[in-house]
Amino acid sequence: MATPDTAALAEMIVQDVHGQAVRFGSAWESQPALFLFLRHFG
Amino acid sequence: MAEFRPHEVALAEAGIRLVYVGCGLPAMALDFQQTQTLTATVWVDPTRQTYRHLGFVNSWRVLFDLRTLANGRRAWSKGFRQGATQGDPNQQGGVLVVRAGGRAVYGYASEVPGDMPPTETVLAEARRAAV
Repeated sequence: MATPDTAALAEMIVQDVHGQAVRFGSAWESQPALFLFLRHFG
Repeated sequence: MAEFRPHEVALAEAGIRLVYVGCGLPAMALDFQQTQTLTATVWVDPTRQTYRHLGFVNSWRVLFDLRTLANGRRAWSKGFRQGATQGDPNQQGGVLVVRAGGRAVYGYASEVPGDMPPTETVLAEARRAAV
């Protein structure tokens, strides 16, 4: 996997479990982050 | 990804934020978080923009890959039971480790279902990102 462009990734908006919008890059603003991308829930 | 649940507390204590990302809806994520008794963050990306950005595989062909069958058998033998699929069955996942501030230091894109790097490798990369 090529090193991704995290600047673009950081600006993408996802949602938390309550449907609130979250900026993706907020996860690594003050700490390292480990993301596990699931195939699907279930 | 169930392999990471036992490590959630240790990761948090090491100052590493663990985030599960799925491509379903918030209600699916909440159900996943509750049934898996996760303490880590769970996010959803219904449009899969992050998946596309990271180049994660989305193809029906993976369902007919012999590795898919082999990985399924291995998971079954370890006691893992997949529930009803909630989301796109063709979508594959992966792993990304990012240092504080935004520099990506490790990434893995799954080629077929069940294709994951060793858990210890991922944990080691995450710990290195925290140094």
